[in-house]
Amino acid sequence: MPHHISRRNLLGGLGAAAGVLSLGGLSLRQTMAAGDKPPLVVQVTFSGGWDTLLTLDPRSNLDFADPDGKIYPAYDLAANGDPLILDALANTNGTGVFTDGPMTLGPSIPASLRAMASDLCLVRGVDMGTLTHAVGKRYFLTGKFPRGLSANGSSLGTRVAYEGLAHESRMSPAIPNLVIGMETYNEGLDASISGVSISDFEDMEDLVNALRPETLLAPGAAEAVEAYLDRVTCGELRADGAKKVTTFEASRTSAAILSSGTLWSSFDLEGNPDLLAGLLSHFGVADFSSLDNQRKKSYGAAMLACQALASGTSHAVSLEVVDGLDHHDEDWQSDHSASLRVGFEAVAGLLSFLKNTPDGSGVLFDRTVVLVTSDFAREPKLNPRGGRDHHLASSCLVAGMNIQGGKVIGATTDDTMASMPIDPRSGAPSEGGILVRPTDIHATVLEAMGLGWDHLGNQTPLLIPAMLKA
Amino acid sequence: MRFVDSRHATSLCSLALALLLAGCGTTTTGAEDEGVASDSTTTTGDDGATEETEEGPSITPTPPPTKSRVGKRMTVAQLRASIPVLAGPDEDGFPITWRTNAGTNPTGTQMFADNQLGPALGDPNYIERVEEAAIPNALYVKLMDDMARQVCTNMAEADRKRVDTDARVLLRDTTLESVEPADIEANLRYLHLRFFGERARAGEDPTIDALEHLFFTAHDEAVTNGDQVAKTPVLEGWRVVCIAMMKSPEFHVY
Repeated sequence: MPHHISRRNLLGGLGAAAGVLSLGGLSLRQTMAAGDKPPLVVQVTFSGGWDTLLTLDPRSNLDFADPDGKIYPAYDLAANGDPLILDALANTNGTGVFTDGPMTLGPSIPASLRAMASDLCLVRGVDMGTLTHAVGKRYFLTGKFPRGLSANGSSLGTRVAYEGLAHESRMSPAIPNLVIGMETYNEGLDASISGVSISDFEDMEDLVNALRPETLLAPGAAEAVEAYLDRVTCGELRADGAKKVTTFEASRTSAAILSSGTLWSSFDLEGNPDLLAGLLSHFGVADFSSLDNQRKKSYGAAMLACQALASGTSHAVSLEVVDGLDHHDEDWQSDHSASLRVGFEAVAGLLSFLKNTPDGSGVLFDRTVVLVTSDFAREPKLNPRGGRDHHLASSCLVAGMNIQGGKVIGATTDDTMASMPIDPRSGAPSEGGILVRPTDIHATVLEAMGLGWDHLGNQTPLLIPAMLKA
Repeated sequence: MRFVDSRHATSLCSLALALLLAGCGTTTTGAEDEGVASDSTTTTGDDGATEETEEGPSITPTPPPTKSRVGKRMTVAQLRASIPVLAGPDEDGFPITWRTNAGTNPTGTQMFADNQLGPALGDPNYIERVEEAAIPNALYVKLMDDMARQVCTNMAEADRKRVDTDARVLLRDTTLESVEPADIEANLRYLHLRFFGERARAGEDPTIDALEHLFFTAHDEAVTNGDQVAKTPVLEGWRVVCIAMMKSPEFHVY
């Protein structure tokens, strides 16, 4: 009977056809890049626009001490809300700038991250091209400049999860693309790798366990329900113009895995004190309950990311470690540095975990790229309200698979902190060079993972070889 | 092998699409329904060309294409508003919906709320997220399964306790005890309209057939093995039917 086509077979056939087509489009680089396991990615966002003077692009508090100057670090004022800055000033002879070889880091960068300077690639003077939060955030999410406020293209995590589908290992994670507390986009890629958004561990518990287990169906009835859902109906076909039904069907298998509860053991930190203690050790904490709420949120998101990657649950994790950084007023002095510090502590914990978690013959860090970004930077001089407004020239932090550690790419000028063009081969400022944009960072990160970046073509991406290991 | 001739892939797609069309056109579309008759036989060769028969050239009307429109997934706001209407009240008059408590008492917060699972389902908070990403992803499908089990269990229990049989919601056109096929079909047709907003076809309808099979499978399993959450095998049958319909894309995509 024609009406009794199995939906699974039918959609499976369509999926297979689509899969074959997508395989046919793989670049040579992609086929060559295949290893035992697919590359992983973590995109970390500081939401609201970060102050790069305090963190990734510092200036001496002594050399730029004039409050009316175009660059005014004002570290002493930021110490009002973050007394640890006073320690930083004391430990750096009053400059507030920590130096480790070519790397200079600001007073809000915690010691745990400074200790990993040799693993970090720091890109300065990234030209964001916008001072609008949604635009900057989405630009760095997708690598493509947004259309108006709307995201353009798919998130980096979605792209990497999509490439993971074609990896020769045929690994099929339960939640390929995990998104913690931030936006995610999928434009035209396989529906099964769309980002699954959660807020915290509680959401994760709801996500990977059946709620109200007392209402679960008997095995025979559950099988019969699946058989019923396997059918294709005309009503569904009529409504599938935007592929919502197809997406719904593609999600059923993953949803069943989630409901089965088998993944929970990787995330049940309360029920597994050893697992919790092991994770906390990377964050320098013994007791999670002793943390303030901001650290619980930031560390919690990072710990979720750690477990999602280590357990093979996800190929890509995007997480927001800090939000509400948009400090235009005196809250810049009271809140900004402390928030940044918490966020970078979470990043350091994440990196520590990746560097110390065995993975085959190496560690997880070897096949993971971590990209840390924000909407844009903040003005180098204080506004009349004692805060900082938006600034175009931002920075980002990259580390991991095939990324050159201990490296600083680009710079900003010492008069207005404007982006300086660079020679992409050396990463040094060069008058005839290029201005680095998020598009270029995306292309280089994907190259480091051995993945294609043709999808960025209409943004004229430029590779930055200086970011890559030789 | 990574590189496959794209013509093969295209063939696979075409085959799948042909199957799709075949599944939808059996009763209401095609030449016969439109009164177009053909006196001659026309066959189509492998290359797709139309062949002439002894009775001369003929053109077989092309079946109208399956119409596909831009489908939308129900938003969280729509779910929040629709589920109590669909599920009706419990025996005490409280609206049945998905709540943090297992029962129907409205002291339990709605799971669709901003401080519950609303954001996980895509509900915007209008601070950081101003658009609803109404994507039926794995999380949505999983949570809708959770919702369906809770809501349908409460619907079955409310009908069991209802004194006024005319006020029943899940078993409106049947009784609490009936396993008569006629009663089952009548109630399934009513549920089809209630859940999907569309009347089942008159006569034989494959969806009704499939739901009937589902009802009896769940009922028989409850009778044989005692595997049931609802109080009786008949109620368990209806609970399972309710869950299946509430998990269906037809329910969520419109």
